Amino acid sequence: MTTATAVPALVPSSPSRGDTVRTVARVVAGRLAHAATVVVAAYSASFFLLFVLPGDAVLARIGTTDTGGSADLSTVDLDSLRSEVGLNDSLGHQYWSGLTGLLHGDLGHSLINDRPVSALLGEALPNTLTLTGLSLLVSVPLGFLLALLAVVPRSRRIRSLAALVPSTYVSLPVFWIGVLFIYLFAITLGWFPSSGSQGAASIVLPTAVLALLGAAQFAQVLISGLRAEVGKTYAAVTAPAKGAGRTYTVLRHCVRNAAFPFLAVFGLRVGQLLAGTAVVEVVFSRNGIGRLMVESVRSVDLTVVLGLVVVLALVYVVINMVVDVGYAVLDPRTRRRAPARTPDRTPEVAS
Amino acid sequence: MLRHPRRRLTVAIAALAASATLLSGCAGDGEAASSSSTNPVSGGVLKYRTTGANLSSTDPAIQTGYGPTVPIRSLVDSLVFQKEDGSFEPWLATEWTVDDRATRYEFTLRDDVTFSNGEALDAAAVKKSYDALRAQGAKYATANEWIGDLREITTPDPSTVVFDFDSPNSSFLQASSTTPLGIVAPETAALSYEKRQEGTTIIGSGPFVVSETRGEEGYVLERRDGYAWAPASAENQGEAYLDGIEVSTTPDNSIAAAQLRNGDIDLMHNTEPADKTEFSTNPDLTIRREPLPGAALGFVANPKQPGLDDETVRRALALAIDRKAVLQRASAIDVPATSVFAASNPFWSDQSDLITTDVDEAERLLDEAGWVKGGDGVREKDGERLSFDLIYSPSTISHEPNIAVVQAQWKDLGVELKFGSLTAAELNQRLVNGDYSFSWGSGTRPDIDVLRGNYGGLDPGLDQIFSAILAEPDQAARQELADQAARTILEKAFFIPLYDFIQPLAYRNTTHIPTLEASHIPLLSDAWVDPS
Repeated sequence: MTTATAVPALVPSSPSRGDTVRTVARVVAGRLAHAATVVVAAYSASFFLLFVLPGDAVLARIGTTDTGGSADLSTVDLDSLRSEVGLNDSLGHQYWSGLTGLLHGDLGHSLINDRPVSALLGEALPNTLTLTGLSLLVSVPLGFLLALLAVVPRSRRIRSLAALVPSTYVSLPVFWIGVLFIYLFAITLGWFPSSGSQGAASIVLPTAVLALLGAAQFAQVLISGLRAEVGKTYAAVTAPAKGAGRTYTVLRHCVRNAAFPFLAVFGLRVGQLLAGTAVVEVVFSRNGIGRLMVESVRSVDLTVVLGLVVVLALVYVVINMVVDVGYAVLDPRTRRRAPARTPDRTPEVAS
Repeated sequence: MLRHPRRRLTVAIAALAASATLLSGCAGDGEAASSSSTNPVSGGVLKYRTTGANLSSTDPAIQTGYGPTVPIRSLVDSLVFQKEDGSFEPWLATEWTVDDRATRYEFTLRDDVTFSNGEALDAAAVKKSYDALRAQGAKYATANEWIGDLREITTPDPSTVVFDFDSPNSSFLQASSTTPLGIVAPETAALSYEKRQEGTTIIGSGPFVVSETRGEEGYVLERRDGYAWAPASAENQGEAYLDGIEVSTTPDNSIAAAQLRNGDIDLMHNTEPADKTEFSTNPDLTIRREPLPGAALGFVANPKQPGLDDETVRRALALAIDRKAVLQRASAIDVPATSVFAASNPFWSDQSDLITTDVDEAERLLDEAGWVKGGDGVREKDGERLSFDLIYSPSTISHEPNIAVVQAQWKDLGVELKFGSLTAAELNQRLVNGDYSFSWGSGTRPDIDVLRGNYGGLDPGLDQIFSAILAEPDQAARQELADQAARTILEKAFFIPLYDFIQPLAYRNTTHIPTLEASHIPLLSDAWVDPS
């Protein structure tokens, strides 16, 4: 996260207009180059890693021997199919044509069902974005709430209990929680559907699983941050001396200072969410890029996996930029040439 | 949502069951307890849970597994219908003739059948439907394997279609009755492979049409108006009773079982052993007890592997298995194998005299062949250890407790067995390369040809029988050859059978599926659900 370079563009208060434009142009160019490098690196690494997997997509697509037999396999003309989908080309050629296709915005076709990768992504992406977006939306305020509960109350018992909840939840596997939620809320109580993405009710359980996990992680870093801040002189001595109450001090002063590690974790959390959706989407049988990834890796569907990697790399790049912007908004010190305006905003804006 | 009605329902069913028990005391017949209505009811939606990936596609020609085929069966009709007993009856074809070498099949078609897009089903449409499969070669590997060595399809007149083969294929009549070779409309046949996978592009002449695709989550079928060409065995000769069918997939079998108990789904495929046992006694549910009519489950040997190239070793391994102990780990409804074929296969005959247990004899055979126990308890000969691996796809994982019993029994004999599931890509790669000792034998085709798929190329004598089978269209003569083939496979221990392939449908008692084809796939135009 190269914070410093991004900042000038955000707060344009530099002396001349020409300078600003040049700075902005430089920063944007640098950012784009950085993004392109990340995408190409992710693409290349995944491309060569995928060839380590045993078997290939053609072997995966002819199915199992339940209906044909193992002797039938020898009579199937796999080689002409390999030629058709391009698996017989040299590795370098496959790599190069994939990369040039990427430049033209062409992600290629699935090796398993011949459908365009962009169409498969188009079907899967909206579902996953809704799920991750909603769970982030819920987890941030929930995380703050839990953290405040663990720091603000006078009762030591409430504080320790509230501090215990996040670490307990984080240590449980997502898969297990998902199955537990299905049994509890879908099967036993019948409140929500147990699978699929039909109807608004179907998103409740998967969102809950992910949002609680996010909230727990956020709360963990916020709690340790807040505890440190609460002990510092300005909060422990100065503010009470000026007559500020504990709650006021924490909300007005400490939260903002404790929010920096939170921002770092927020960036990581988005990445984890995309990985977490793979599990949740499989458990709840939802369409989405996580599930598509799992199935594509399983069937060695190179083009689909690479298409997903490119999209995920782009998401990471964007999220990192958002986090950098968040630092700038929160902390005046990171704004080198912009001492003039100090936006008076609460940390929540960054999220 | 369903909580309270369900509780009431449970009470009602319990009361019903109790009164039925009382009644049965008088009538001497407990049948009445199982179902609340015997007269078909129109309307309602059947919720079906299937297994398997690639649900975004409804292409009959790629969906060759049992689970996904169940709903797709009702999208397309076939030339002939194979009844549960294995015999054939007219469907789209009113009659057919096969020459005495099984190289020429001539079908006469009905003239009143239309596809759901209005196109007529005639000889040209049948030819286009088959040609579209053949043009894609390995993309439709199983379908083309079943079509065999077809030379050409000719259409002398609009109601006659003739299939000429370069080499005999006596299994083609059975193949032509299957869903993968169901007839699609010319509009669908003209599509590229990729377009056919989009979910809503498959047009057939069946009693249902695809109305909505939900990607990998499943799809929805709705009743087609004016359907009037069901096979004679179907109880319902007209339009389907059901308004629609909702197809979904729940990856976890136990969750799916809970959904069935709960009434969230009406019909499901694939059940874990513990749930099978529970279903078999649950008063709200029915689980089919008949094994799928293909091959029995067990270990298919790769006789090119060191150790397994010796018939004595293979026979010793077969004799060392105590199937009663193996089945104790299975569900209450599984039954030991009695042939290479499952007992429900039309070509099954009882060969349990060849499937016996004799551990002492097994020890003796191995000693005699010169395999002696080494320091680690595993037998050795000339530096070669009797250590084998068994490979299978993830769908076999639920059989692992049973496989572990075999592992323990062989360990006592001084033979090591390792097993594990592989992805389809890796599994097929190792099968093609011959890099395995045993593969998990299964097969769901109700025909003799299910054997050729697993045991072709192992033994010249066996290959001769397979060739003879392919050139023999007469049912009785095929049965004789089937017995011979099964006997040879067991005697030479190319296959070590364990139990029959019970992976049946389970359904709520409010769901009725009266008619099945030979593959045990139900005709869903006959199915109905009791109104709730």
